[in-house]
Amino acid sequence: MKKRTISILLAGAMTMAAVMGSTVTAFAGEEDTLEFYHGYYHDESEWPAAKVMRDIYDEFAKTHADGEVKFEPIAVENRDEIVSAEVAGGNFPDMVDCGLPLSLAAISQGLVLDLKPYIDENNLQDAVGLNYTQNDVDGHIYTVHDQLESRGLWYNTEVFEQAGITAEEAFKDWESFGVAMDKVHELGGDTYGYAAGQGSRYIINAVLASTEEGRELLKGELTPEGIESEAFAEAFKTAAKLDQANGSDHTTEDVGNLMDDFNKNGKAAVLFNGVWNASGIDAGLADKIESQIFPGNVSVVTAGSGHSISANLSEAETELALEFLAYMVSPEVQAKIFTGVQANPCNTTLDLKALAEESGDPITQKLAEACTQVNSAETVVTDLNYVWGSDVGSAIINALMESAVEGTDIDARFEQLKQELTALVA
Amino acid sequence: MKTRNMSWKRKGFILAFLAPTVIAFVLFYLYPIVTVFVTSFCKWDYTNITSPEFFGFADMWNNYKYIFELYPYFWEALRNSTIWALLGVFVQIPVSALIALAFSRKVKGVKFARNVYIIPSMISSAAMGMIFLQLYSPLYGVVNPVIRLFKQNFSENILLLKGPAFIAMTCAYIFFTGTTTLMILGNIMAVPEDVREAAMLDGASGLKQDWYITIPMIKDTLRTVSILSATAGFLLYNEVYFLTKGAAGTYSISYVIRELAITSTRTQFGRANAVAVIQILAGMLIIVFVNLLYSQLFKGKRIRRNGGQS
Repeated sequence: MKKRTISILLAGAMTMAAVMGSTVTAFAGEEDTLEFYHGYYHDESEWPAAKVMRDIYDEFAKTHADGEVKFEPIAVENRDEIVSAEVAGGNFPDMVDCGLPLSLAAISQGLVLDLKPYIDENNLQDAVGLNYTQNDVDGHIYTVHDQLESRGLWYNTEVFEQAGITAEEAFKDWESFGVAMDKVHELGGDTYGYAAGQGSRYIINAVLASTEEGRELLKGELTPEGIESEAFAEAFKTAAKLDQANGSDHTTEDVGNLMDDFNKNGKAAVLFNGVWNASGIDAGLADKIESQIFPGNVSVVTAGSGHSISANLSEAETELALEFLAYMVSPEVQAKIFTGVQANPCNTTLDLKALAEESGDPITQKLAEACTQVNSAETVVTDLNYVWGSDVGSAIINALMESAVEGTDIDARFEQLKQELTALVA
Repeated sequence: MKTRNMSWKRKGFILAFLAPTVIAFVLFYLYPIVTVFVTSFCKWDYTNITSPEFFGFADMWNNYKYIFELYPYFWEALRNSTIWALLGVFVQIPVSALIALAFSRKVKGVKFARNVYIIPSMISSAAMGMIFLQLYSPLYGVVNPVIRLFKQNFSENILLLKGPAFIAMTCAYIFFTGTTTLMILGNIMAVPEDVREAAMLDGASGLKQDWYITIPMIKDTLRTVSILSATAGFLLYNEVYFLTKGAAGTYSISYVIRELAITSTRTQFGRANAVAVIQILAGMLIIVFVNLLYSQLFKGKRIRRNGGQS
């Protein structure tokens, strides 16, 4: 009898535990705390910039420790998955520094706070910089990134010298770039042109930026007309021909796989990467590597997704979240982002060269040079991945990678890509 | 009266113990499967993420029409996943069975070999993907130098060549048979020793013992591991993600679901669920196919044995 009673109690307890588990979790999150998810979880030894960002967040938390609402920065590896899961359930985290483009589903459900009124009321237009125009969605701004994803290219002057080419000739236009890469190829040995594949997506981006029709395509979602346009065909085929000449052995879907060939081993002549690459360059190569914008005086600068705030916070929580946003784009914090994180800050009022000189750090000076180049390019366009979506971006990268194989019929592969893209945007 | 009370108590007792499992099954298995099925007939994307809308009976097949007629990677993914499922049954299981039979022999060093063999099975398929990415690297991998022994000046990235990329992807998982080998080995060890001894007295050699005694006696385990292997092949995802991201004709069904539901900024849950329904149905077909295959295989074997005896 005793045994049976215990067994029944155990079975009951198991059922109760299952039911109560979710209830307890629900209550646990109801403290008056503003939770802020960010992706700077790395150990300082792995990525020192992550510690700089965490310190910036912690400083804000410390100064607001006695406030009505507490600020709690939470470092996570999967912030975008958290956002996806919350949005699928009709919610949004209190505040998050998004890594991937802000979900259209979150915007269409009204889950994200419109930041534009706050930016306008507090005259933060210059402080948020490019976010103000690029992240404007029908008169609303749902996300502000404190750093701009700024891309141009980096080249190795020593390899250029060996190949008998100058930067001026090589970056005049894409044709002369191709000729220059052929000369690098002729050097033989381990030396090669550039890491193609993911990196060559930016060739398409830059070629599109060089024509009026192409620039129009980069302003909105890819349409069937855009897929059929001459500008798109020209951009893809230019990139694919360059990649094929460069060889599939130097082609990767993740440019990170071949980054050391440029930054540490000096094997690659060119690297298509962001301004932040300044901090990855090996000290031994620092004086040989220079930054440059794309041929045709083009740069790819994207505000992208960053700080987004839930539209369903209390008044006090919203106030604190907005104050944090203003703090992140303030000149003091932006200067730290520039010198400590080695990124292109969004605040346009900063004098980057002066900050770099003040720091006395040669890498920061290289970064300042690169940032100035991309910010002042004649044509600045957005990364096509952000405008057209990452599924479209992946299809283009796959087509480019396959075209890199010797003998691939680029025209035929382009026709196949057009079919794929037409179906994807349907 | 007392007996009836006891019977009710007994039923209540069973129900109380079953309840947590039944609730968990309904919540975590049945409900998602029904949801996947129902929402595959709904418009469900970024515009209505929390409220899927039924297309109506006239347009209820919209998602399926898109997947079958427009979506560019579906047929490629279905073909690849089916081939991987078949390779699971016809390559992975015979390899596992052969290795298990070898490990069942009482020879010196077999225990050590068994332990070494199982090590790769402890590595996650994601880590394996990364390892194979290095192996296949045209710059510093070990595969290209081997190819160059037969084809001089070969410098292409094999993960970008249609055909070789599929083979490279298959090799990245199919020979890692640690778990299935252990399951088969466990069953081989359970075959009564006196049956083997009797066969030995009848003059059956080691190979004949394996063919006529061991394999028929472990056929249920072989059937189970075949189903597991086929479904694992059909659901292949990590290798695609880490090695090619679908380039050079290597999409899989699982990868396609991710593309539609996660990668696409349009969050196409409805269409992803239409693919998931096809995946579930195909999974069921695989189970039926493997069962039929084994029934046929061992039916034939029994007839031959009987014929031999008569």
